[in-house]
Amino acid sequence: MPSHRIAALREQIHQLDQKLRVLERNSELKDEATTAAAAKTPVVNADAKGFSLTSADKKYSLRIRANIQADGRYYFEDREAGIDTPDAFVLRRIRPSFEGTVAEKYGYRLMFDLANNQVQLLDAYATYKYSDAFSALFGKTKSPFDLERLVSQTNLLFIERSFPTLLGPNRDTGVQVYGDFLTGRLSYQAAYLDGASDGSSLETESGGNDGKDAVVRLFTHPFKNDQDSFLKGLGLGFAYSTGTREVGTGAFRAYTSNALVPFFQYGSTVRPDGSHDRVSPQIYFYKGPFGVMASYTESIQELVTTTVVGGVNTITPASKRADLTNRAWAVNVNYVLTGEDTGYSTNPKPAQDFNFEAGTWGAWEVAARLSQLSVDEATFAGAGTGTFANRNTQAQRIDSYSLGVNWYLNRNVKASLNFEHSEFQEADASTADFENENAILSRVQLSF
Amino acid sequence: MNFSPLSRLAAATLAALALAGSAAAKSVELLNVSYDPTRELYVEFNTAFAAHWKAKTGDDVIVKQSHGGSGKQARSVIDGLRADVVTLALAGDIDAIAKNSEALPADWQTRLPHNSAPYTSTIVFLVRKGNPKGIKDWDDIVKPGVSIITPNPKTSGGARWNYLAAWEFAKRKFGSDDAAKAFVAKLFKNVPVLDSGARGATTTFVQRGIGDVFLSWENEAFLAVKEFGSDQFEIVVPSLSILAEPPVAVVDKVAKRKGTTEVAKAYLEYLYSDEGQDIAGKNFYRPIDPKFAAKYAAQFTKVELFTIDQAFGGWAKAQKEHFDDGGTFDQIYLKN
Repeated sequence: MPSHRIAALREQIHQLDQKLRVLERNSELKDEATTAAAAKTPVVNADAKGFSLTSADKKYSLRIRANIQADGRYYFEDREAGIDTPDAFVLRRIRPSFEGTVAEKYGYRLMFDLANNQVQLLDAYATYKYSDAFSALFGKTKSPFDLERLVSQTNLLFIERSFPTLLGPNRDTGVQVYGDFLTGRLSYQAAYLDGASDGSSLETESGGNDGKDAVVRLFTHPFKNDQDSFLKGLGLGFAYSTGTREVGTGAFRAYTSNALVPFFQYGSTVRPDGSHDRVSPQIYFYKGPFGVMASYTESIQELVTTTVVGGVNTITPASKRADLTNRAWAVNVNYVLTGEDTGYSTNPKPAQDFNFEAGTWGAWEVAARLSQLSVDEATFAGAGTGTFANRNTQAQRIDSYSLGVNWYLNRNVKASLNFEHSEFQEADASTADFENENAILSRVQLSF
Repeated sequence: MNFSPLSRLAAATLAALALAGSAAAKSVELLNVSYDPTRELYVEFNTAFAAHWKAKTGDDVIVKQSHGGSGKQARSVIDGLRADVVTLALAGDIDAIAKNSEALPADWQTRLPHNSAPYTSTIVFLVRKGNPKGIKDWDDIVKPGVSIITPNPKTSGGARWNYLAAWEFAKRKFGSDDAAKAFVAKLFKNVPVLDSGARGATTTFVQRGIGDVFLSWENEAFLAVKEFGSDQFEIVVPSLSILAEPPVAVVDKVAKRKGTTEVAKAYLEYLYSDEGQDIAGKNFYRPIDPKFAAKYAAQFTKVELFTIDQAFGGWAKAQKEHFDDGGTFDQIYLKN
């Protein structure tokens, strides 16, 4: 074949080769464009954290979650002779929630409780995140005060929270700001709220009160960023609240044992009238499967007695007034027998989900707790049966220990069994005789 | 009120720990959103800056990099990508960020020396070994049968430099904008693949083996020759090219929110330091410091360069006339 013919054929092959390469490359670029376009499609997700819908740019999202807790309570020794607290199966919490983000920096959350055949709005708030160091929350949620209260209901170590939560506020409505500094080693929360009575979400405004609560909480993880430090999981905090409360009678929640049996209640004619301050040092430490958490709370509140005048509880010149200090503490220790990591407000994530056929058993955890609550002795002083509470029927102090086993079948299902033992110190031992209380609490929880 | 000694002790301990924590070293993270061919430059520069910052302040700094077509990167920043600094291919893209997001002031270019361009570059031709099509200058590449690789000027800063360099060459040679437009139309008729960025176009030419000539950033062409060998490719320097001045800027709004303004400013200022200029030269960018420009002069072929201001009246004007929707590029490319 002539050389010019060979050259022409070579050129022809080159041209065809180039055309093929161009086709392949354009196809490749088209695939890349398709992949890029897919990245702009909203993402629907269903996993252990719930069901969610997220815009492609992640600026908008909706997550649907729920928590169902079915409890059984068995009281085989009541605190007082002649009282028989009924054993019962109860639906402790049935809580659907909806949360997410709007326009990237704004968040929201709505959570309801449907237990006890009623609908309660527990959380309803909007948030704005300016930076890691500053976010704001408007609406109703937990007051940023008590360490154990701030643990999510689905991640509690014991079936019921302990005594310090009885002296701190529960949910409250107002404004909160919060954020982290020092690359997450120091966090703060500050709130200006309607004000809630000890252990409850009762708002003071129902009594026509203008008083508000200011709450500040600082929490530090000094070794958080030191990857090799033994103390990496150490957290220390301090919370303080101050406010005024001038609500009517009936504003107090009864103090209950860890098995939810009441042991102290202020008298029916007593009401808050003046300052209410609380303080709470807090600490926890988590290392692998081991954890310990402790907190202490003092609640100092100005109370006054009232007299019924014209059918209305009224403060009169004869009213007695006092600043009463109640104190509580609790120490929890837990250990995950199957070796998974434990942490504050997180459940262990089972290395292997429970599967009877496969012979895998999820994660198992044991826990113990010591706790105490004492009511100011001045509460019971005075003439008659006592100025602010009836010393013949109320306990002045409760000491408890709790033992618990938690079985995490998977990330969504948990079964718990607690033994609760409480000993009471009567306000007046000569007129009251409280026996020890023993109870077994059980729970099956499904959450996502 | 009287709090117990335990409460007071806890408060004091917490305060002490907080103070101790504030005195400890910080760890800062920056995001540098850049254009396609600067990957290697900033890998080396970031390491040097981290060491410099650690020695100066005791703080750790981690610089994350994001690369893509310069126009696409600017769009990402406008759409919310949290860049502390942008180091893009052309001032027009940072102008677009300033205009559309107000994340930095309109006069951002005055804040650093040399119009905020710490290094320059230009556009050259990368051809296959032996230069089989005999390409020497711009008029050679518009001939029928020459396959040209260049990215899309709509998304790539480098492609816009290519386009404008070809336009100015034709305008000077043929004497009018109409002739330049026809010349550039012929050029794009010879483009079989339009990548979105310079690195993608490099892949098309170098790795996929498509095309006879690649209109390339000078540094990208050197990198291809260095990586794949001079037995594969040659660099051809045309008679006229454009002085590309890739600018840098702190994205004030983001840096302020993230608390990184100080380190972001220092990061860009360090590009002008001896070490920064040396690293630019080593990575085939033209340093602006005369000392380092002289040090690396030998590696660059002398070429007549014109600026965007001289030929097109600045980026804002060039962008509007040529690259905005309905501009000359759309007219040329859609017609092709």
